[in-house]
Amino acid sequence: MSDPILELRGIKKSYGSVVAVDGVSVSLAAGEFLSFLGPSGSGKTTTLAMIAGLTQPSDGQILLAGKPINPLPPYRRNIGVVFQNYALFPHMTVAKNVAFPLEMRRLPATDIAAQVERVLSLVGLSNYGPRLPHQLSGGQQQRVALARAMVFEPPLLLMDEPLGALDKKLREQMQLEIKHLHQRLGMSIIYVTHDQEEALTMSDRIAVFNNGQIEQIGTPTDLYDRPTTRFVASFIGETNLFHGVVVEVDGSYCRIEGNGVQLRARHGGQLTLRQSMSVAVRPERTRLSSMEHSRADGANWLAGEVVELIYLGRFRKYVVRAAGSDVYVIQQIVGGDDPVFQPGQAVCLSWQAEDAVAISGLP
Amino acid sequence: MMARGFGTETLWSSLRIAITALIVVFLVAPMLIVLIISFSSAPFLMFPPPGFSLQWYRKLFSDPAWIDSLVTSIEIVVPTGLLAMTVGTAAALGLARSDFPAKRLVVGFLMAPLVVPVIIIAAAIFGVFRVWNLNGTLPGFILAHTVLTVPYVLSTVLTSLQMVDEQYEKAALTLGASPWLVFCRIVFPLILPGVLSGLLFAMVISFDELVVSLFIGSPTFRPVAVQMWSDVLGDIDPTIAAIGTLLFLFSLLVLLLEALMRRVGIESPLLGQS
Repeated sequence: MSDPILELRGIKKSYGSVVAVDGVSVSLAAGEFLSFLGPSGSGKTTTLAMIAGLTQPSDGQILLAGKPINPLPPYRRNIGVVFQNYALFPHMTVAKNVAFPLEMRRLPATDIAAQVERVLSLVGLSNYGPRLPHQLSGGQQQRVALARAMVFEPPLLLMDEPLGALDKKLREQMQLEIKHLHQRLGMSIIYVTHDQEEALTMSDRIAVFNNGQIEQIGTPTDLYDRPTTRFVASFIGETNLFHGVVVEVDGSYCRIEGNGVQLRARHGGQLTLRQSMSVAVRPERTRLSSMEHSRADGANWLAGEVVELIYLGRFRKYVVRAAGSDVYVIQQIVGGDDPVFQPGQAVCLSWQAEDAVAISGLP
Repeated sequence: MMARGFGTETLWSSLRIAITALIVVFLVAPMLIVLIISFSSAPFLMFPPPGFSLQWYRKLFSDPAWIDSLVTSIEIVVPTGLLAMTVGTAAALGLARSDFPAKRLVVGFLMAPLVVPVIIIAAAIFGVFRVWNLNGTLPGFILAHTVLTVPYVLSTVLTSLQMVDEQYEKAALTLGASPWLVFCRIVFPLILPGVLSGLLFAMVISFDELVVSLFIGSPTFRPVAVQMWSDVLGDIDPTIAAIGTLLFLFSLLVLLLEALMRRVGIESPLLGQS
């Protein structure tokens, strides 16, 4: 693997007694698309501002292509930033906005014109050069902001919730466009978002932020199928959690007991007996069957009662009361003869041990 | 029969029109009278004038005392405006884009000339200038008037800055612009309407200023306002009406310019985008 393009080593930022970012370390490979995902106030935007040089870290080191850049002001870092509200200069035309970083780099006028033309056509706005920003739609302004941030070919592009102001449909379209641009141009991108679907759609890897720290970093599949903390399990997608203590460890599997039931699940780290853990299982990995069916070997099963049935078009969602908590089950509707369970009906809940994961964290 | 509600409505609206008309008459009528008298053919102030004549304008522009004071005023007003614009804009930038403990204190200090009685400022400046030998000099007048006019620039520029999103400045920094270039290329063009309107205000206030000018002026160095003052105290003839009319037109022109700039500001993308 090539050297990382960006490396954060124990970055901290505190405002008085408030700690906004508390020891973030992460590295970004060249050409990688990394998302910072987390709720607002989790420190992801502050971390981005420190990489851009708009905020000084209280502690820690930032290395760009192996060189420390902490003392460099933002205008010497050569990092592209796309801001949440686009921050297009309102008194300059689209072409002038895109030309701005090139003018700051004192490129000859003919080169500037050619580069502006190239980047504007890349984002599909070839004929919009003479317009003013306020004459464009939100999606178009977003494209101009993107063009402006990448026209000077920065080694690293930072995007701070760039699609937050757009409606859902346009947002999904822009997600794919940005992803395709990334694949075509091989840019290294850090993308800040609080939208888990957006992060799952676009990223090579996701760093989940919570309380100023990275809870878990991994590929979208890693995070979805193998969350290591309670926060990650519940922040990304829906999840069912069962609390208990470890009663048996057997290789990469363990058995956790709580509320009168024993559940088998995969685990990722060192476990000790009697340790308090939770078992997380996704609603779509959970199956319902009638009580008469015998349980499958190796599967976890619970007896429960259907509380609610919600029809979602292609899916049915059940709320089942089992082992002292409400369990969600999502069942794909395949055909007309699927068994449908009605509220009040006694059912058997089951899932494969490999679909369940033991995670730390108190209930 | 008229509906009762409708009748009350009409009553109120006619009352409102009457009150507004009275206020307008009280405020504008004296100015109109001055304007009319300035074209009087009579040798003294009388109303209505017996006939039309341009003699007072002729006298105004042939009397060396008036011409000198006009030149003096221009010599004071232009540098004062420019200096106040520069100082006020710099102060506004520093205050709007930073946060320090004594910030309110600094704002209060800079805005003080608006609240402190002018007579006190005048006496203080007179005392200091006597030590510095600045009484009756052009630099003295420029300095004193700048102190008095900086608050106007400061407040208009601060208002403009509040409407300029700091994100523009951050974006420009990340795009490779040094703080000075960020100011020249981004901030200044966006606050220009506010800066120019501050400049106009500063110039009008300086031109109009009497109290401080009376203290620090000298018999040989007197701007228009002081000249008018002594003229009114001495032998009064319609020349004063002529200069009054000219000042009135000048102020009107400045107000129109200012309004025009505001309109351009509103149509500019700065406020157009939302």
